Amino acid sequence: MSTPRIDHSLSVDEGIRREAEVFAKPTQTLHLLDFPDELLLLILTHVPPRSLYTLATLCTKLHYIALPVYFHLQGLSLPDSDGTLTLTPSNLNALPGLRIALFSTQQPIRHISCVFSHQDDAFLASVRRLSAVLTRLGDIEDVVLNFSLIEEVESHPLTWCEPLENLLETVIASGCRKLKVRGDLLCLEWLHSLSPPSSPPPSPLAARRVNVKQLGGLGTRIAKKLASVGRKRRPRPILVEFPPTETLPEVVRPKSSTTSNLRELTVTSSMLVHGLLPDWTLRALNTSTRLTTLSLLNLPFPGRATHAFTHIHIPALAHLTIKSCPIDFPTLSLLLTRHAGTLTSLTIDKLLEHASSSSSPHASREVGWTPIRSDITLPFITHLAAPARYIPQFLTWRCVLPSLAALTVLAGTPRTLILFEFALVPWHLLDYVADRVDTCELALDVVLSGEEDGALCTADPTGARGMYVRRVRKLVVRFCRGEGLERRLWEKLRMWLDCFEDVEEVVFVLDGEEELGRWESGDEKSGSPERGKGGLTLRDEKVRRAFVHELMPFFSRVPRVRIGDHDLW
Amino acid sequence: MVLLVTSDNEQFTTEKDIVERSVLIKNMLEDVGESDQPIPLPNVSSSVLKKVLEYCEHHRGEPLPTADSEQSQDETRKRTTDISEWDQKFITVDQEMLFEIILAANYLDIKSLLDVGCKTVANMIKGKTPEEIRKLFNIVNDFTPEEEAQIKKENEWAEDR
Repeated sequence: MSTPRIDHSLSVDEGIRREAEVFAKPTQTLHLLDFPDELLLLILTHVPPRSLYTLATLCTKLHYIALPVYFHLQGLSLPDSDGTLTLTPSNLNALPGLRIALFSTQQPIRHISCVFSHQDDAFLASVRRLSAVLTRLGDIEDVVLNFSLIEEVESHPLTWCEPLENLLETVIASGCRKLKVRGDLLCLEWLHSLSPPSSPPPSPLAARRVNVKQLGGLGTRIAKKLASVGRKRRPRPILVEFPPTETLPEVVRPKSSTTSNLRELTVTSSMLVHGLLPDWTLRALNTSTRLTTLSLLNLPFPGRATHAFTHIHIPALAHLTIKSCPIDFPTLSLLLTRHAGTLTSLTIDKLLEHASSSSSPHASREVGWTPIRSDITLPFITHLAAPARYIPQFLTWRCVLPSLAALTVLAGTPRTLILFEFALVPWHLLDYVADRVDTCELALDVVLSGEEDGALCTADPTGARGMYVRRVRKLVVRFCRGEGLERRLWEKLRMWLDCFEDVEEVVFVLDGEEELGRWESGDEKSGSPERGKGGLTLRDEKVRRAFVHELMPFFSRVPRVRIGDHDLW
Repeated sequence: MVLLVTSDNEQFTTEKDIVERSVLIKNMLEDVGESDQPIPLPNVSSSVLKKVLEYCEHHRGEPLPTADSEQSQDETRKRTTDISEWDQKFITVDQEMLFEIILAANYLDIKSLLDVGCKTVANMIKGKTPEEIRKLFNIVNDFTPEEEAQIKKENEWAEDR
């Protein structure tokens, strides 16, 4: 410890000067703030968080000393060099401090991740506080809001609407470029509406009315808002038929004049789509002129409420991902048509997951195969990723993808029968598209991931035999799980690979998405050490040799084969 | 016996095992060896040294915190602001003296006394309103009006929560 800097010589006649002050002794020579910082810190280690916060509001010196201790005690680490701020239920108490922290604005915060907990009584207070913190920040790169609300409730607490909407508005106003919203309440109201309708399905309009009724006060609020929105219509894209629009929001006007800087929006929270905040979402989507990437994931839509999506028009939308959302094909085709002029990549998967759970597989299949609008042209789509069974939708009908360069067959997401999916890959269709696609660079990326080995091997891939896929030059086979890579699988894999007659390059991606896309970046040094991090046994030199040996008949006619980063030749 | 000389040139004679609660003096004595030379303490006044020696005398013979126990002590220290009855009585002094004792304990490196002092100050802070603390320690508000407004807004929030 260093020697205190205080000059003690003055203290001798201090007593004489001491006056009977009401509170402190202004004439006192020794002052708490004169203490060296390390002594102040030592004192502060004994002070509870609440008082630390109080101290931080008294003067700048205490502010800078006490607040970091406060954050430390609350388990909050201040943004590090890359500007990441991570908030969890355990440190949300630190938000008041963050709100007043003078230094938080000097240390730029670029990435914010916040997990809320509804268990916390202060949920709404936390939401409001985060909004307040955000108003002080600017130039934010990305925000992840995770509401982690898994409780079952009869209906949404309506008091949540305003603060949540406000928070989202603030995020947009802060210049955020990427926003992810996760987490939900499992709302019984929705669960009821998810079950198949016993009577003919209500019209979207009726669904809306029911919804408004169920939501009570919120519905009235929205209705009022909508009334003030006005009826001005956007010019409609050709060939699109709208559902009746008289009482529905077409385009919701922005609340404020702030321009949204949002580039990417990922929605994994049904609160945003048909729960508490559908009008915010519509408004945000329609006014985010820079939004290029939209992902809708794991959203259980109630009944036929997907019509909300017919009211979305995102001017610059280029990348659309819809996974595990029971969006119906008419709606999807409408959505696609409206964005046909800007879309360059499309990923769809498990569109009927939820709908099919309650009805017979056959029935859901029927619904699923409802043809996509036959007159869609998506002239700029270069990347399509979809399960094999959806691909015909895009390739056979007159839905034309003249620019398609890469096709990702999403085969075998966990708990799916991989080879069953293989057999379903419509080879002749691939051939068909390959013949029509001008490029030779059609990449077929097969995502392999299996849990049920037994099922894998009993499925019969011979349905693919005799079908040959020409003009596929490059093949990316991605293994997500290594366990499935048994000898029995190799043999079937070989049969499958044999279907690709003209393939010139095969890349086996061992694990994870970071490896994916490498094939695009072109050449790399051969012999570089393999980087795959999964538990794939292919990393074992011995196993790899056996694997190569097994597939040799196929490999021998392919000019270039890579396993991970490792060039086979 | 050890001879100590304070900043105001007063001499104190005390026993070695008392004064060795100060790690500073203990180390000095070890370095210098047996000597009649007085030890100067230019940072400590006589009134403060008197108090410090009173503390050391009361706690003489108690084991000094060793380096090993320091870690665990750090842990418990953070959680507890308990002060023994005698220490509490001992430290019931005016603010000026309290601060002097803390500074002296820090300078002389008497961990337990420093702890008592710091805990006492912490206890003075605990549970008080901003205004009470401000008056107690005569802390001048030097925030800008904007910063002040920000703090005020947050405090209003805390109340209606």
